[in-house]
Amino acid sequence: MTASIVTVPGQVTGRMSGRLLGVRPLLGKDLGEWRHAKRGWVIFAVTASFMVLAAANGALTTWILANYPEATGSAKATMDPVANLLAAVSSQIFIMAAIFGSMGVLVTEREHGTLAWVASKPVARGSIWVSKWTAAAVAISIAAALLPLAATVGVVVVLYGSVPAGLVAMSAVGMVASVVFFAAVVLAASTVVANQAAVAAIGFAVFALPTIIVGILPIDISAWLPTSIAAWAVGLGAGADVGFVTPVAWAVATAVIAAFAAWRMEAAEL
Amino acid sequence: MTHDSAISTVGLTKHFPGVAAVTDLTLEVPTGSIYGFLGPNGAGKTTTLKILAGLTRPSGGSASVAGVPIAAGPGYRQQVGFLAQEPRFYDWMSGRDTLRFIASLYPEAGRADAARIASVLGRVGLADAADRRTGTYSGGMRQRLGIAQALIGEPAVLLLDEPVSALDPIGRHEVLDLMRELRGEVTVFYSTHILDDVERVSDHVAILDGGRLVRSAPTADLLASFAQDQLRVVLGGADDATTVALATIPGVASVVPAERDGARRAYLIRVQPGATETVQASVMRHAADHGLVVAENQVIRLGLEDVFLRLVDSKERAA
Repeated sequence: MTASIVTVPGQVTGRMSGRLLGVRPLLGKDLGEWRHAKRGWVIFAVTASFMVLAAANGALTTWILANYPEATGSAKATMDPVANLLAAVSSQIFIMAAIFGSMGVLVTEREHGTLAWVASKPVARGSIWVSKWTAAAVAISIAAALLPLAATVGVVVVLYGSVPAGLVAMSAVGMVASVVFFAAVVLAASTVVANQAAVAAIGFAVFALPTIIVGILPIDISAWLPTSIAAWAVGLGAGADVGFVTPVAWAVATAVIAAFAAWRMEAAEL
Repeated sequence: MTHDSAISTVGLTKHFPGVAAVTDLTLEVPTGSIYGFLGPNGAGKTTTLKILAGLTRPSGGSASVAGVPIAAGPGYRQQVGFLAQEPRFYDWMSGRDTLRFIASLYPEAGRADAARIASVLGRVGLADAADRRTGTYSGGMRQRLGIAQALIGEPAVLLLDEPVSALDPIGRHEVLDLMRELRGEVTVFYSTHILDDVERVSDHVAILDGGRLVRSAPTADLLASFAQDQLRVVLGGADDATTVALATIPGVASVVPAERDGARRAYLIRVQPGATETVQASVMRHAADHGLVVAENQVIRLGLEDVFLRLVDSKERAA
């Protein structure tokens, strides 16, 4: 090869060296894809139904106890607005929505060939992952966390009375943070395994294993787990002394997962 | 910056576990050419194109496009416009949206300009379908959109992987015409196993088999080099001794008797390189000396398919 052939035009490489090159147009496209797809509506319908029913459970049970006392056995119910709101939030249905909603995002693109198509353009591979993660986190946060939470709060206020605004706000923060984390886990898993079932399995393992591990260990490490972020936020909203270990663990774990995924994307053979 | 070679590869190699996809590929693709990359299935064509598109890393060797080495990453990919074998786009986007999206990935101002997008759509014959969702496009329309999206970034080289193999005759014709129109404007490097198309469109050709380069040359030169070494001779009044006599002519490599029609016999004569005219003259002299009537004494015109089969076959026999 001659010297002229290996010369890299400085103008080209200098402008092209960013790790997030192309992320803005990619993000615009990925958000557009969520807007056009029906899955956002499906996620909202399922999550909102689940949370609203969980929140309405106290009122429903109370009504049943009042009208059919012989048929209810040992059922108990509370009409406390905070308890019923927390019953809906602690169902963690939004985490399952995050796993199911993002498990096909990267895998499907790879199967269809659009991932290789986009990767053949002057964009950083890391940008592709970051834009998909951001778009999934935004869309699922809206569809599986913020809108269902708003619907749930509305039902709680109508059925039981008002709830503290701080608790609602921190519940929203915790739910969104959980969605962001699990979207990162699932999309990072998509850079390692190539089918949706395996990706979902990894997502559910990260969801379920910490609970099992915490139950086995003689000391309580739950505050150190990034998966405890929703519980931490709700606790903070309820006025409990929850410290700041959990958000730090969440931030560090999310950053490490994102860095790992970007590295995997760069190394991938498309 | 100008470069004699639009694509340059030196010892390019890609080995997967247990599979030597491409081995020691050294190639120079002239700027502005339409370069056919021929080979049977599994020859390593797609792997080579994926390496050149920056989608797969080589195990060894180097490659550059317009002087920019593939290791330059996104900067390198600005030099190439890639079209995969069966292109898929985002079904929810229209053709115009697709080009707008791809153009936005190129940092240079003006590439996402609406007028330029309309111009490229018109050029590939998709102006009327520009605002239709790509999910409704036919195979030929998808290929043409694929070429449009590859062109929109004004790359130095178009890399087209089997651009016509999945199309019906009309779609094939449209895409080949489009490729022909691009001659001299952008270098087109495309893989195919349809030899007839290469002969019609390509000015250069490389033949790959088993991951190794068998031959690369201007298409006309390659065909001429094989056409020159074979003659078809038909002689009136020939007999069994004629075959032996023809074989003794200086410059003749072999004589194969062909069909026989009454007193006329046909022969296929393989001649040594550069001896074609001498052998033709000697055949005429032999016929005159032995009272034979020369009905035919001409160089056989081989098609690319014959050349391809002969090259690949001889390589396999040598192996």
